[in-house]
Order: sequence, then C-alpha cells, then structure tokens
Amino acid sequence: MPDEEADAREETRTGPEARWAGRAYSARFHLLDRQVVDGDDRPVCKVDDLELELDPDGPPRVTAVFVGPAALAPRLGGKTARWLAAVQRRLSVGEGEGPARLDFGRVTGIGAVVRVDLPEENVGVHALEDWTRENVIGRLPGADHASG
Amino acid sequence: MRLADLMGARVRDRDGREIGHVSDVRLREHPAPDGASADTVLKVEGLVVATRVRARLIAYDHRPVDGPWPLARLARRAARGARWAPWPVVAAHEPPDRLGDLGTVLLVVPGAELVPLTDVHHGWNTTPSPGSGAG
Repeated sequence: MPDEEADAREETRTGPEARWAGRAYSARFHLLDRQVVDGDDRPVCKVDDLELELDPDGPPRVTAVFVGPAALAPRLGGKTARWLAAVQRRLSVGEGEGPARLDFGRVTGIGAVVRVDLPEENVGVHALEDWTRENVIGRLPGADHASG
Repeated sequence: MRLADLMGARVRDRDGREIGHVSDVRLREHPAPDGASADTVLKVEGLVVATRVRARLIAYDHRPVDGPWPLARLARRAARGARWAPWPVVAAHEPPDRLGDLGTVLLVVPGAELVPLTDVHHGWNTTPSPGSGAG
C-alpha cells in the first residue's frame, strides 16, 4: 500500500516526532539510548552519545549522533569506560579511532524513536558487525540457507 | 566536544566552589540558517545541576510530575535542591584528564544565584503546537 506508507511518512513529519523550532528535549530522557530507525522503521542503532560543536557566540550545536562502543565508553565512567574503550580499539575494523557518526541533519524525527533519513547504501555505523557477518558468520556451514 | 563530557560533570561556581554535578542537559530546536540541510538546528539550552552528592533525580528532572500524588511527591522530593543553569551562565568546560573521569563545568555566577529547577520546569510539560515558539 504505497499511498498508506506515504501518508504515514507525512504524518511523521507533522506528528509528535516532528522537529520544529521551539521544541525542547531532555538529553537523558528523549535522546540518549533511544532506538534509531530509518524511514522504513528498520532499526539502525541506538543513540550512544551526541557530538556538540562549540559556538563562541552562542550555545553548542548538536552536529551528530555518535554510535557504538567508542561512543558509549565515556558515559560508563571509571575503569569500565577504559576497559570498553580498550576492547573497542582492539576489535576496531573501521576507519579511524573515533566513534561512528550520523549527521544530525539526517534526523527527521524525535519521539519514541529517533528517525533518520539514510541513503540506500547506508552508512558504516556497524563496521565490526559488517566485518563479522562477512568473515565469520557468512563462512559457517549452512550460512547460505539462513532465513531472513 | 561530546554530550558525555557534560553529563555527570562537576559544576563549580564563580568562586570555585563545587556545587553539584550535571544531571541532565536540556536542548532546544532553533530555526536553521539558510542553506542548511534541515529546517532546525538543535542547541544546548542549559544544564540541570543536582546539588546533592547522591541525587539521581530519578529521571523526573526532564519535566514536572503532576500526578498521581505519590509519584508527584516523589518527583518533588527528587528534584529538591536541583538547580537550573542556562547556557549563558556557563563560562567554560574542562574535559576530564583521562577517559572515564569526570569533566568540570565552570559558571560565571555564584551557586546561590542559580534558580531552583522546580521554579523553571513547571512549563516543560506543555506541548505547544509547532510555530508557537514555546516548549
């Protein structure tokens, strides 16, 4: 039902998820750890942290959603943070040492979930997961017959 | 800079006195400048400062709780002592020396000048229509 899907997307743009000037959020309640989904409601990741850009003439601006263990580690505090960061560095297969980021300009809605408009080819937010699927899971006997 | 640098950070007032820690960060949508990829940009509006060492504010600091009365009473008790620090009173932020430690937020005012959270967050429950500019 393409028309119904289009109607649902239009409702999202003007509904409770809509981002409009003046709307306010609690970082802890509305953003951190929220599920991120794409335009077709497919889960993408969770909001592990936010990137803030300092502005000398005003308050900091949110520029990206940080995703993955490298983003989560600083929030855990103490030895747990350092341990997770060390494990993440050891297992890292993505480019660079920083966390994966989703440009905040792609965030189209904030509500029960954080909705993002991702390109078809997606972005490499789960480099380790992708690598494991291709190099470990995909090579298991019978992997070709997995459903879904 | 990351949000995690602010969350939980120690808060020191103008006189260098530690007055609490950042319990939450409030953000607000602003009209985007021309040519931006989105209609709005999200900016930090201010910090919720928990002044008690073990205060967790049990997640009720993002808005007031009107009822039922046991929860409202619990929420008022949890928010007691919390202060609101709008971003203009933040002078600087010092990141932690090493990963996992707490950063420090420095204010330009004495701690006593910060208004109680319960005095300012009574309007945070309202959900005005888009374009009304409140929230």
